[in-house]
Amino acid sequence: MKKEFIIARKEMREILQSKSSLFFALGYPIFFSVMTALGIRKIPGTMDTVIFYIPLLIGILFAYVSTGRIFFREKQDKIIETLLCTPLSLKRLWLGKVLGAAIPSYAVSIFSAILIVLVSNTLMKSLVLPSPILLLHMLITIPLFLLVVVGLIGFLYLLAGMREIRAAGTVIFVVIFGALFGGLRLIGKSHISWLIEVALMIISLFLVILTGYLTRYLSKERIVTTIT
Amino acid sequence: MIEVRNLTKKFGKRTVLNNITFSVAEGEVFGYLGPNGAGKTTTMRIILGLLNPTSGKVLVMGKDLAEDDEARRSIGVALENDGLYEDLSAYDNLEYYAQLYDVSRCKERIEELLKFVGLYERRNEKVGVFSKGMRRKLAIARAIIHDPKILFLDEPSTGLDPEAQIMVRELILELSKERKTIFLNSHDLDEVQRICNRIAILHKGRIMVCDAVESLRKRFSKPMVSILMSDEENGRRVLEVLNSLDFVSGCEIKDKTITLILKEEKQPNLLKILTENGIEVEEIKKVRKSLEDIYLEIMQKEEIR
Repeated sequence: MKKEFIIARKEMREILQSKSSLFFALGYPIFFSVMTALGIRKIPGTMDTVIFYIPLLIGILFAYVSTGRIFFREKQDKIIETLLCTPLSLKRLWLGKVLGAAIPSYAVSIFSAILIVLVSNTLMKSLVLPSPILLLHMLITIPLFLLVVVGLIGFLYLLAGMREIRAAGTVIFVVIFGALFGGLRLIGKSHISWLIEVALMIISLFLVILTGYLTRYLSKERIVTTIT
Repeated sequence: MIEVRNLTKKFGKRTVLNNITFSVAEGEVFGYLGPNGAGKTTTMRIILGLLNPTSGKVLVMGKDLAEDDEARRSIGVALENDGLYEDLSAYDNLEYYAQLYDVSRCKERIEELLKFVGLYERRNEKVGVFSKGMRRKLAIARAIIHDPKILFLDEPSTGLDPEAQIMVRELILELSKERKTIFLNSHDLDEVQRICNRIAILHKGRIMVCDAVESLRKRFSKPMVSILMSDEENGRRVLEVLNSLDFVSGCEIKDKTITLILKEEKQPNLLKILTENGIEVEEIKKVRKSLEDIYLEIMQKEEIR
């Protein structure tokens, strides 16, 4: 895993050096935490629902933007060709890049959760903490979902032609977003139970395995011939 | 070091490479020439394991780079696109690849290379502000960061100004002195002529010739001599004299210059013969066909065919 982390570290470094990424990473959590904290103050007892949705939403949004930066730009600038000539296998290269986008997305997600708790507690002037279910959500489900989002978008970016790339990324983003929130809406939007959380965790784990399996369909030839 | 045997590559129904065979020996600087679209980059991509051949075999140091990840440690690449990260500094770009290749004494190696390519003073600047020539030099430094045995360079001087072209050329010559095997894709005939020991000329997916530059010159050109006369008016008489010589197969006159085509490389003392016949000569020299002449001749023959 050493090489994967070298790649991930480089990607994270580039994200940190990008003003637009930093603006996103700080701006969105602040905006959403203030907005949702105001809602929590008005409707007490909604902290769990907010913590359940918002950090995941912000994480997925950030992951989508970062993945585009990491995978799309390297393909567009043809840097990927040089990387493919290193001793790293294509799968390890993909994994390094996925980690490079997923780790900062997760950090943004955690940051927004902490901000929501802090701002709501400050506004309500009383101590309100999320329920223990959300600990599982924050520690396992969210990182798994972020890995799926980044992994699938990255996979499609490597596989698709330059024209199709944007559409492919948007499709994945909309499908995951739609499936996640549509499914939860069916179950009941304000009811966050252990059952829902565990089910979601199992789904995310399955999707991670499926994404990993799909990488066997990646080929250098496909990547190189879809660059131009 | 590099062996390409009966390589064919098709994209759909289009045949890009048609049964090509050549090999590159250790320490050789091999020029792979051809017009745009001839299949040069496709060949290089197949050798590097980026594309799969439709048929045929490609081995680098006896290994297939597409299959053997570790075998790729022995190669360095600087493709037509520099493959550099614009938002990272020159140092960081090299450091990233040094880490990927497990280069020991990483800092020393990076500094040594930055000095070698003349970018040490600008090591902390972002690559985005570098000129094309500087980027190309950095790309070459990156390609040799792990001290590979074989170096693949794709159009290294394309798009560079003459000064940068010379800098890159000198850099390649320096590397060739270190006995590195260099595979150079190019359509810059002058560059290839100056750098390469051996060349292959590719046209429409076929190898037209593959030989040492000197051998090609011998194969494609009859020995010629150019004579610059001091007096243009003697031209007709000089032609008469020259045509009467049995080692001359033909001659042309243009202004004060006569070009003689000889039957053999060795010839009797031409200067002595001319002076004995009262012909004053300002200069007499052997004419060598340039690689450009040979290249154009091959291409023309191929077009006619």
